[in-house]
Amino acid sequence: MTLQTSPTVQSTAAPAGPALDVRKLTKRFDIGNVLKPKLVHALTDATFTVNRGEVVALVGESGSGKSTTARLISRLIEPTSGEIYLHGKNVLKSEPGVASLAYRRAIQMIFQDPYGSLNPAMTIGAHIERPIGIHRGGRNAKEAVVDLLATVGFNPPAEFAAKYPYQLSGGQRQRVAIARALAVEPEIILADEPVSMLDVSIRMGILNLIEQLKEERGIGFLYITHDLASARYIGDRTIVMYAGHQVECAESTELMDRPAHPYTKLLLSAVPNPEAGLVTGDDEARGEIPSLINQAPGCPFAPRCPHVMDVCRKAMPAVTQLSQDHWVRCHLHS
Amino acid sequence: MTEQPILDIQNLYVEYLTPRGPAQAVNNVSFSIGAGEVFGLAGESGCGKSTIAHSILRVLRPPAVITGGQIRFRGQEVLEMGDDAIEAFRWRGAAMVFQSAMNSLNPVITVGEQVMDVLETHTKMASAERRARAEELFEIVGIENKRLTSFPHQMSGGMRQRVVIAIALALNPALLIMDEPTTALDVVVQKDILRQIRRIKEKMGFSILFITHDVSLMVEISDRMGIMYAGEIVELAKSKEIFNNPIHPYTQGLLSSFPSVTGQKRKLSGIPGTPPDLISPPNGCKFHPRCSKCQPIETECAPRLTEVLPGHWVAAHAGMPLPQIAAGGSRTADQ
Repeated sequence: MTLQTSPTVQSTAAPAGPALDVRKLTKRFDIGNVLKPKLVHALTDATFTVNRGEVVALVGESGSGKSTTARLISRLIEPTSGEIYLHGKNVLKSEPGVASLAYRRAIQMIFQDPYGSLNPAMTIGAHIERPIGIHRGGRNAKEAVVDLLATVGFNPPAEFAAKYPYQLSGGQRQRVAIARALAVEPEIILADEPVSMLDVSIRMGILNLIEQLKEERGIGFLYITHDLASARYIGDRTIVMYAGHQVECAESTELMDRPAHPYTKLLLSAVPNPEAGLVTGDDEARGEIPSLINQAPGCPFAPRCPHVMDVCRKAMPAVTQLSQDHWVRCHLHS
Repeated sequence: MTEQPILDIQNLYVEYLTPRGPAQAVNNVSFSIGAGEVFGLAGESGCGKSTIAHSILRVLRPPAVITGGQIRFRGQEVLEMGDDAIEAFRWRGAAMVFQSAMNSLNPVITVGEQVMDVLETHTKMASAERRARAEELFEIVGIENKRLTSFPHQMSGGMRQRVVIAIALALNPALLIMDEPTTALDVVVQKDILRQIRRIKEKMGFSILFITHDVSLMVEISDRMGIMYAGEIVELAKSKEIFNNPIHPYTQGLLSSFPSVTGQKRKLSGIPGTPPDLISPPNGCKFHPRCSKCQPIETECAPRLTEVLPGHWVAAHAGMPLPQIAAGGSRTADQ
């Protein structure tokens, strides 16, 4: 991996750098009223890059800001602050408000629920033809549909093009969603928990398809998941998120072998481990993700952290570079 | 097992009567759960594991019908119980924690009242006793007493799940049925709750029927487990044994569907294809269209659950090329 993953280094990246470059992306949702202001700090200072031909895994529990990150990048919602660069171009500046067709073509998204993301009244073929019509002028759409369906593993593809979503299983629907995203030849695909609603035996098929698309077509993926094992399986790099903050980032195997942040360690210890069984010793950190409303200063993990120090409750730790592609935000390491 | 099992299911059949014809949701399933044992049923959606759980408490609704078999609880036939007997059996004999349990709490009543409600319906306890018992139950599942007056929306998902477990434990059931109790929870909370369940079980000594699709989780929590596919148990053994020495190709496929966070990265294949339509399932072994090790005989006639190693049962054909069968001789499951 040649990419610089540190946020501090990234900010000096040349325009010819990574395909997608996100800097200090922050989203606060205002859910209060004039008398009782309330801010949900959904995402704070998200900074990372996704290159072509790379899978970046974003791991965290519910409410950690993973999906908010994907929604901000896909520009379904507007960030409170921060920048998104596509090939060095600051897209929030150059195309404020609504994203351009070119941007939407470059960045595609796959959603968690393949039962909700397809229109029950449209055939599979129509789902894939539509983006081709919008983005590519619709030339040779029929052949393209058959090609795409074959790419994502339908056999015979032409037959499936005439089917309706209800005739397909969950795994097949997710393949349709992937084919639809591929239809516009995107550079980056944001995959928001693409396998968590699927049966276990067919999950690997979808993950292997993502890996294959990365290798054969050079597509970059932002793979969002709560499952560390699958992040390690297809993620080249893994970013761990907690309560809207990115707390640790490293090459995936390195992260799982040598986790530095106490939260990463906690997550790893919670992964079912058939060999060790349920170790009923002292529980490490306990409790649950804190409220994201009107957050206290300091590290968000401090209330649960077994190594908490005074400084942790006062200031959010800065990024510490542990090695070339491993950084952590924790006072233990600064 | 030498002593009498808490629960003994023999040759259970359940069908869903659909407009397209009957779907065989549970097909000739037999297993038993010993005292203090954690028995797991693992399999994908639609394999019949929840249907079995609902059959035990007789809470199946039409179009589901139990078409055959016996369910014995401490030797007593559940399927023949009268209204009074089944009422007494539910909650005292066996209690259930449902999959969407977190959302099964009434949003406009405090959680404490919901615990006491069960006690009021099923016991003759006085009001003060009920309160004391509710406090005790909250302590058991690890929630502070002052949360008795909380409403469900004031609690996190993990806490609500603990409340539901407390409600299930209210009458000291001999068997706790847990249908995917932690699926909707985050991993850290899940681990916390599973440890707690294990600890409570050691203390109170009930048996657990644990249902999940996550085989690695199942190996962690259960003593013995059955792997289900398309309404049938295809492999049944001690959990560690299934993990270390899976014999049925479906079990092997299922285990190779879970990547690991440690060790060498290796390519995992999962299982090609999709589970069959239960209205018109394939002939012979129901797994054969997806199986890479399929023998010609398996497309024709169905295999039977056979004990290939002591305590290790696999759906197999006599004379199948399993070294264990040749060495150990075979018995059929019906004995």
